[in-house]
Amino acid sequence: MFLGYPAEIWVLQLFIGLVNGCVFILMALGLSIIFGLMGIINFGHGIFYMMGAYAGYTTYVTTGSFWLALLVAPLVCGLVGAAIERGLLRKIYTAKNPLFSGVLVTYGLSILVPDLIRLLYGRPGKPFPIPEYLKQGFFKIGRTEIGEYRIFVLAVTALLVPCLWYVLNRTNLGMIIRAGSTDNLMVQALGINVSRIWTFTFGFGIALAAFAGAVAAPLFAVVPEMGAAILIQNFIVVVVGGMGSFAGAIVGGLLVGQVLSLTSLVYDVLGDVIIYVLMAAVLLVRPRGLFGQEGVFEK
Amino acid sequence: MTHITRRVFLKTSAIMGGAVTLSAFPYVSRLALGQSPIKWGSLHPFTGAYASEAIDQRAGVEIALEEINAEGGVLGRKVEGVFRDTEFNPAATKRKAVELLENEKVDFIGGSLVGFEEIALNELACKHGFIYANYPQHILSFKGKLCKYFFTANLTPFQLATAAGRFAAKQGWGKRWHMLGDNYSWPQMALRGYEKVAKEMGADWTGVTWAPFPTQDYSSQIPKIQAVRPDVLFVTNFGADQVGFVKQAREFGLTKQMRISITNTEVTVAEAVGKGGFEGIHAGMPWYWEEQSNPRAKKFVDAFMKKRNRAPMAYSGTAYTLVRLILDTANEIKSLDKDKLVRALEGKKFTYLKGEEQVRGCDHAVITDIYYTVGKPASAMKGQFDFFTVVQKLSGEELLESCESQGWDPKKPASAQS
Repeated sequence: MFLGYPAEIWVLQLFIGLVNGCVFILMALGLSIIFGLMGIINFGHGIFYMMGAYAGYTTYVTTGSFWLALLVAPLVCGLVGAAIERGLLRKIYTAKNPLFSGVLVTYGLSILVPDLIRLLYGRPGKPFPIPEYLKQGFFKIGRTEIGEYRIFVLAVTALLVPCLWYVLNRTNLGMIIRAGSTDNLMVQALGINVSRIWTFTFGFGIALAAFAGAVAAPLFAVVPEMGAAILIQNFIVVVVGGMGSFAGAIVGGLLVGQVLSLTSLVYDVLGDVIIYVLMAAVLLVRPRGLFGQEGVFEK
Repeated sequence: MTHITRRVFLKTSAIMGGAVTLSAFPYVSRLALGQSPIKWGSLHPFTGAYASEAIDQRAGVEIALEEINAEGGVLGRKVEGVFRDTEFNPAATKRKAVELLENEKVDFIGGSLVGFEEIALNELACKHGFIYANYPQHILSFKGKLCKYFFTANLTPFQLATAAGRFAAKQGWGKRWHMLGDNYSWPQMALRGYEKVAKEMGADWTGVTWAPFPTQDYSSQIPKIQAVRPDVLFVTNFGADQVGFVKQAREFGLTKQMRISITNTEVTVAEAVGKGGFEGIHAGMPWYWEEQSNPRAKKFVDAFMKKRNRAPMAYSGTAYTLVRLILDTANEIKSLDKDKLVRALEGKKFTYLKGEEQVRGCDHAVITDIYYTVGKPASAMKGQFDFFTVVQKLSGEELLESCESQGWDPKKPASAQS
């Protein structure tokens, strides 16, 4: 027994924190990639998480295929993201203060898009259930059944993260993205169409958020407001882990997932306080975050 | 001698005749004279966790105003609805209410879907002296001092909790009771009801598990509840939060381990969970749309279906009832004077969508039916919104907190008490 709870409850909370951390990782990777390459603090990231859930719901209802929903949601939202980069964000790169302009534009989107979704889908939430073949209990910890779907979320993240790492670190495309984030003028001088790479990267980051939304939708309520709360938690993830850092998004996601899960055993809202304390502590000691690139947020 | 021509005679006769005719029909005369409409200011959280419920609540208000206008308005004047978004924020609620009073010059303010908005509007009603029509359940015996201008047609969480506890005891669901609640004033007041009814019914009250508000993720709370091993779990949350809870309760096997009784639910919640998602889960409601034994309820449901192409929520119904109650009373007493209206409303009996209801004079709470329902399996649903079966209607003053316990004199109306 620790703090009035048996060991099995603590183990269970660790597991739940791990699964929730996976959703944070998927979202934070997109946020981090976009910031790392483009220097845009994407305040609209939460809406793409929400759009992913809605796109997944629509595909699921139309086709009956959960797998297709997981494929279509990031694809559609990624294309929307690419269009937004071309149509809107491109105009701010040459602004006096592109960082601030980026925040304003993406924040504006985060207000506009939920209303568009309300117009399209109506205000009540949409039912996106766990598919029948992933509905059964997988194992038990104490009295709690851990469903197959939570294992699926873990497995998907465990598969996707190394693939993403490989693409970013071992392929030409990844090399260009990383080079662009360090010195895009030099990359341009080498004859690479950086503008196209930026469009692709923004769309790709958005696709990751949408994928996280589609994966998380069967576990939560699919409502137009669903992106707002998770966005703040994700900013904490990337600030703690380090803006633009791949490893930082993973460590930050896992850390925030565990803090929220474990502290809830002590006091219901303690986690919401502790994650801010954690962020403040990291910013004080290491402003670039645990795995952040040197110089980022340190000036 | 003045010479009166035929033309002058005809003109004068027409004017005089028109004046006499119009004075005999005040409604026509006032409209004809371009008298300004009565304004009903209405505040709803169109953004935030309860946004979907808010839009249906507004539709209930609109139907009431449309009906009243079709019947000739109030004191012969048209009633106009002026709607504002509270942004799910008490500061914005106050700001918008003041804007309605000062800029729009509204005669009444109705509003809110959540406790903190209600508290803000109640305070303003006392300060500015306007009739405040509180659409949601009221918590003022718990947080804040009730203003004499405050009226509602909805329940209190205490009433719902008492009804749910009595129902659980009657069904013999087991003695170990526990509550899961979002940590804010509405569930905190329900807790007071559950603790009291548990004592009355001889149940073993195992306490409460709080969740942050708002939240859609109860995965950290569910294991704590399972560790307590209750026979009955009373759940006090709402909107998108409740959707998340019901999905996860099924996922983590909670529905197989204990009876789940939700303090208050809505059709919109069941819709977002999906068909059959509420199967076997019990829930209280202030009114359920399929209960149309009262012909007026059928008329309201039809109007709502036409307007929104969906079934009305209980909160649409209670908002409709309250608007009608206040404006019909104004017509009955032939006055918009707020103090006269307060006196006329205190103790008033009325029938709109349910059976007979009554405003309790001493604290303006409503003595009314509570609908206790159980979720249907998907296979038993006969239509898109046929989510629940009403298993019992509970009523009576004994479900309410007594006036004495709230510091009110039960023999005096609230307006006569300090």
